[in-house]
Amino acid sequence: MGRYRKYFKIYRKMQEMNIKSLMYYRADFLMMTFFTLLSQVSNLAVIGIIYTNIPTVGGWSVWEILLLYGYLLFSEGWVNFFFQGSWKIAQMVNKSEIDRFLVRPLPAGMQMVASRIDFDGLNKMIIALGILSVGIKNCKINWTIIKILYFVASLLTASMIRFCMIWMASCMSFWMQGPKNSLNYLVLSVGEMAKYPLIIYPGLLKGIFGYIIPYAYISYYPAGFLLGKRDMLPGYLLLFPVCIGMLWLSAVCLKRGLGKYESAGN
Amino acid sequence: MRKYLALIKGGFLEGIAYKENFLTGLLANFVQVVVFYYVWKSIFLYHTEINGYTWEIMKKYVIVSFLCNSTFSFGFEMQTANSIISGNIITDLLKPLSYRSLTFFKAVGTAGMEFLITFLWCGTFLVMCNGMQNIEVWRVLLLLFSILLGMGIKFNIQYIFSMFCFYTDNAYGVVKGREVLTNFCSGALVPLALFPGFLQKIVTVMPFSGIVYIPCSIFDGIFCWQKCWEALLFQSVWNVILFAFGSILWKKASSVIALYGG
Repeated sequence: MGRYRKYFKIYRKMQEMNIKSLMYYRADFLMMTFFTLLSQVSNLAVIGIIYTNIPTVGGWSVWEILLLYGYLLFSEGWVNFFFQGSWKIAQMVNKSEIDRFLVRPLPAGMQMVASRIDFDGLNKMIIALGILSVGIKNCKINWTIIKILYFVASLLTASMIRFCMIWMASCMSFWMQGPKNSLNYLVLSVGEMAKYPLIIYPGLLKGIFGYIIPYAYISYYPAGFLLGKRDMLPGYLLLFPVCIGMLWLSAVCLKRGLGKYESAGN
Repeated sequence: MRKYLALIKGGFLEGIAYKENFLTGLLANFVQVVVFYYVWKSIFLYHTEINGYTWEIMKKYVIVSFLCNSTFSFGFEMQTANSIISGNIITDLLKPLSYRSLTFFKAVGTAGMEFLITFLWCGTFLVMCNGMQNIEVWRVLLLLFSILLGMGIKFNIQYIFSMFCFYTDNAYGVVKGREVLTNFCSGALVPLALFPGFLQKIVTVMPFSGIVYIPCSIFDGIFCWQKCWEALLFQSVWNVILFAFGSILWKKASSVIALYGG
């Protein structure tokens, strides 16, 4: 246990260093904040415009859709802020930056995720919490202790599932070894579908989003539980095993990948 | 003429060399199309018509918007920014043609490759889910012409945005800003006709509508014969205005380049 506390402390220190290095690019930071706001406003406007013409999509009202959107955006910000390194594995492998991590007495995976930070992630999480609270306020949810606990737990679990997806897609760089890897970008853009309820997609896509790229657990099932939607019970409960499974797979990917890793010589 | 052909060929080969980028971009766009396809499908289960759009028309709209949006999608702002930062832009400036022609003809080459692939994909997809009925030849021809003008607008907008890279190092932000603005205002996400009143008035007079909304509306039959020609005129006028604006910006921007060392 003491060992993990130490790791956590070091992770925090590494992130603090990252933040300090970001201070150097203050104008960049302001610009990115602006663009994040702009793109969120545009995304929300699209949802708003669709709903000014019709009352529901697949039986979900506009406020319920905001819950889906909030979950999705929160998980994206979470990855950007706490695990941004997972986006840069292609570069680390290609430039053999991983050598440096392997010689230190710390887990390589931890150093990899903490090697970068994207402060924009914090903006995204804050915006997402705002959207979630607007959605929740207008949805008339019957809050119970279980629902409150589930809300917090599912938000974190969903974010970790999202991280695992990006991580695994990025880890493919160990085998592809090119300077770029666009699989993770592809996984991110597939997330577009999680903005709308799973129920509107045909069977094949439902299968893909439920089992192969499990986006359904990032927004649809957790939001469905809070809203008391019917016929989703397996989905609510599977959320946690899915997260554990994804974490295990991520660890396997890292281990196998590092086994395959062969520096670039000096 | 030969120098232009060489540039087009270069752009085409570059497009093939970086096909991974293009294919992921294409797939990402395709995911968006699939999502909107099913969102609208679920909506039209309960409505027969929304603001003049039926499910038949919306299907065409969604697929053609994918065609308009995928071609010429990656943008060259990043390239411009990188060549400014590394100082390589000097070799471009020394060439016996303007920087705009250089980027334009390269982009034409790349766009050619992109268009061919997307066109085949969209065509198959459209025929698969819609069959051949209700497709009029003259509308297809006008669509192609309109897409061409739309590409012109897209190029000019990208050129104007790439001028910002002379002032900032954050090319990613510039690209992102341009993408968000174009996607939203061009009708790539939702047909402009469904926008609420005041917003609709604003976006329909902006040049972005010529990129996706106009070609799509010409094809899916929302525009009548006369409206089609007006729309094409609208696209041409914006091409000229943006071209002129680009020239002015280039004069200003190119004077701020500071190259280090040499």
